[in-house]
Amino acid sequence: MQSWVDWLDLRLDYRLIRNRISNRILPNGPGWVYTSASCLLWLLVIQCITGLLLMATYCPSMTSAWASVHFIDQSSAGRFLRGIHHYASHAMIILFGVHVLRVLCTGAYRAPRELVWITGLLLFPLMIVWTVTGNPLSVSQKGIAQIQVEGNILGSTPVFGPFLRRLLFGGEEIGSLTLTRLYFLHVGLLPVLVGGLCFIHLQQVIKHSPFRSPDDPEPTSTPELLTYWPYQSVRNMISLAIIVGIICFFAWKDGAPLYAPADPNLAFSPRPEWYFRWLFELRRHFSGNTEFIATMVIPSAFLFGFMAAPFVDRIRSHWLAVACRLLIVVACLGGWSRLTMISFIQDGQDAEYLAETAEFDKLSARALELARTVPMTDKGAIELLRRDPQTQGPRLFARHCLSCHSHSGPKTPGLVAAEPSAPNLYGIGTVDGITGFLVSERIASDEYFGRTKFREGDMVQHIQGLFADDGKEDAAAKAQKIHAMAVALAVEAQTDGSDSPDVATGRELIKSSGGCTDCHRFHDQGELGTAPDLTGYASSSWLKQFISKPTGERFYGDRNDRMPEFASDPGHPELNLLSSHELDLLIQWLREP
Amino acid sequence: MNRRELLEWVSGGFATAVGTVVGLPGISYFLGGTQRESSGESRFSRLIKVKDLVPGRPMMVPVMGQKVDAWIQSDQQAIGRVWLIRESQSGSAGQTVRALSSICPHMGCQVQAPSGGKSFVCPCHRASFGVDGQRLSDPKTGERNHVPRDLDELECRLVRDDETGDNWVEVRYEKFKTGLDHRVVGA
Repeated sequence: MQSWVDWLDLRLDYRLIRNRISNRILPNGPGWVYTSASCLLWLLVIQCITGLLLMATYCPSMTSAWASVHFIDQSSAGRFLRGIHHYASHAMIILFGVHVLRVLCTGAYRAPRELVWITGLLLFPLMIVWTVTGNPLSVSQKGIAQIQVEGNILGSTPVFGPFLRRLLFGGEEIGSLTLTRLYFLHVGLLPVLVGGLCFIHLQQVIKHSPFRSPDDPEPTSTPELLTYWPYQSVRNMISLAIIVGIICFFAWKDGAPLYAPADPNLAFSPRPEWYFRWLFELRRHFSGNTEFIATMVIPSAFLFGFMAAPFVDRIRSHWLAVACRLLIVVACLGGWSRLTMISFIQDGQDAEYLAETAEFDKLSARALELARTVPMTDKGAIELLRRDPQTQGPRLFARHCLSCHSHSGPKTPGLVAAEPSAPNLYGIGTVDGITGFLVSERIASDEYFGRTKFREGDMVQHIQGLFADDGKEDAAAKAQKIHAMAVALAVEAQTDGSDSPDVATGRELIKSSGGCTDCHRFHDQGELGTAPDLTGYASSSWLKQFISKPTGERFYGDRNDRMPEFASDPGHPELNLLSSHELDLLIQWLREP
Repeated sequence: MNRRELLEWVSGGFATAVGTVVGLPGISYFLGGTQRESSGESRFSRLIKVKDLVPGRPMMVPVMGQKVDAWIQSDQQAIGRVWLIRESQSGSAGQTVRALSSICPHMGCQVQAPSGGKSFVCPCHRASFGVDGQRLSDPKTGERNHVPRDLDELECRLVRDDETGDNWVEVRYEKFKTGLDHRVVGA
C-alpha cells in the first residue's frame, strides 16, 4: 500500500501540494472571521454539482423550459436540489458581501496579496451575472421581465450598449436565441471564467501564506502558529454546516419558486432581486441619457475604487488607512441598505403594485395547479393559462365588456364597471339570473335593463303587467310560476339538468299564459325578428352567436342598443375584436365563473 | 536571424494560423445573430372599429403581425401594444383617435391606465403621463417626472371600409429606443 502511495507522490507531488494547503498558518492564527472564504468555495462546489444534476433534466427551449423545470419539481429530490441551487445562490451573494467587507476591515488585501484582492473583486460581477443569467432560465413571466430590463440596462451603456444587448438577446428582442444565450453563459462561459479566476485567486492565497514544514513539532503555547488543517478547517466546516442547514431548510420547506410561465401578452411590472434593489432605486434619480451613470459608472467606480485600495494604502499612515477603510465599509453598508429600504418601503405603500403582485402570485399558483391537472401540449406551458377560462375569462371581460357590464355577485365582488350601463352578467343563464328577468322590480333595476334603452320597453312593461300585484293570485303561486319558467329556460342554457315537473310546467307557461312567444321564439312557437330567440337561451352556442353578432336576426336585429359586434366577420378573423377561441373562453367562464 | 530565432518565429506563426482558423469563424459565428434585422418599412395595421372605442376611455389594443424569432416564424403574433384614445363623440367629421405606444420611454415597461383611464402610469418607477402622453409630475409627492421624453405618439388614421361602412383605426406601429430624450426608431 505504502509503495503505491509513494509511486503516486513521485509522479504527482501531491504531498507537497497538500502540505502547502493544509499546513498554512494564518496571520493571527485560526479564527471564525476567516470562515467566509472557505464557505464560499464549498457553496460554489455545491452549486456546480446541483447545477450539473439539474442540467440532466432541464431543457433550454422557450416552449419546454418551464415544463422541464416543473418536471424537475415533481420528484421530491429534484425539488430539493433545485431549492438548494436557488437558495445557495442567494447565500453566496450575502457571503460574498461579508467576505469582501471582512478583507477590507482586516486590510488583508495589502502587498503582496494585491492579486488575491483584484481577482476576488472581479469574481463579484461575474457571480452577479451568473445569478442574473440563471433566474430567467425557467422562462417564467418574472424571469423574462427581469432579463428584459437587465438587457435594456446593458443596452443603455454608451457606444457598446446596443451591440452588447444584441449579443445577449441574440437579436433585437427576447426570443428563442436569448434563452440559448443565457444558458450558454450560465453553464458554459461563466463557469470557465469563474473557475479560471478562482484558480488564480486560490493559487495567490496559498502562495503568499507561510506554512509549516511537516517535520516541525506542533506548537502548543502559541495558538497563532496552529496550522490550517484541522484548526481552521473545523471552524470552516461548522460554519458551512450551519449555512447549508439553513439553505436545506428553505429548500425542503418551500423549494425554489416557479412563477407563472412567460406570456408576451401579459403586462408585468418587474422588480429586480433584493441585491439589485439599490440600483433599481438609484435609477429613478437618473434619467434618459445620464442613466448609464447609475447603472454602469457608479458600480464600476466602486469596483475600481476597491481594486485600487492596496495601492492607495501605501501612501497613507497606518491609522488614517484604518479609519478610511472603516469609513468606506460604513458608507457602503449604509448607502446600500438605505436605497434598498427606500425601494421596498415605496413598494409596500403602493396599493396598485401590491394588488398586481397578489394577482401575479395567484396566477402562478393557478399555473402550477393546471400543470398538475391538465396535460401539457407541445406548445408548452404558455398554453396552460391561455387555455384556462378561469384565468382568461375575467381578463377578456375586463378588456371588452367592463366598460358597460359588471360581473358581480352577492358573494363575490368580482368585476364592477366604473359606470355600468348594461345588465350585470353574473349568473347569466342560471335559474336565479333568469328569474331576475321575470320579476318586475328586478328587470327594471340597474342590474338588468335599468340603464339600457329597454328600461321602458315591451319586455319590462309585459313583466310588470304579467306579475303585478293585482290581488287575483297569491304571491306564492306567482313565485312558483316564475320559478318554473326560469328552470325551463335554465335547461335551455344547460346550466340546470333537472327533469323536475317544473320544467314541463315552465315550458307550457312560456308558450301560453306567460305570453313570451308573442315576441320571442321558443322551439316551434313564436317568430324571430321581434325579440331574442329563447331556444337554447344562454347556452354556449347561443352566447357565442349572440356576442359575435347581437344585431343578427336571431337576437336584437336593428333594435340592438349599444352591444358591439365582437366577431361579425367570419371571413376575416383578424379584424374581429374577439377570436373564436377567446369567445369560447369568455363564455365558459361566464357560465361557470 | 539565427536558427533558434527562426524556429521561434515559425512556431509562433503556425500557432497564430491555427488560432485564427478556429477563432475568426468563432467570432463571426457568435456575432452572426446580432446583425440588425432588416425589418423593412413599417406598415399601417388595422386595429379596431372606431365605434368600439368608448370616448374618453383609453383602450389597450394589441398590434398583430409576423414575428421572426431566430428559427421560428409565426404569423398573427402580438408584436406590440398601443393605447388608443377616442377623443370626441360627435359624428365622423369630428372624430379623432390618438395612438400612443404602450412602451414607457424610460426603460420599456408597459404603461397602464388605472383609475378609469384619467392618466397613464408606468408601474416600474411610477411615472405618470396625461392622456395626451405628456409627462406629469408625481401626483402624490410632486416629484419631477424622471422619464426622458413623453409617451411616443404613433401615426394613426381613420379609414372607412366601403363594403361594410365601418370606420377603422389604423396605426403605423413602430418601436423607439428607450432611455433617450428624442425618438430613435429601434427596439
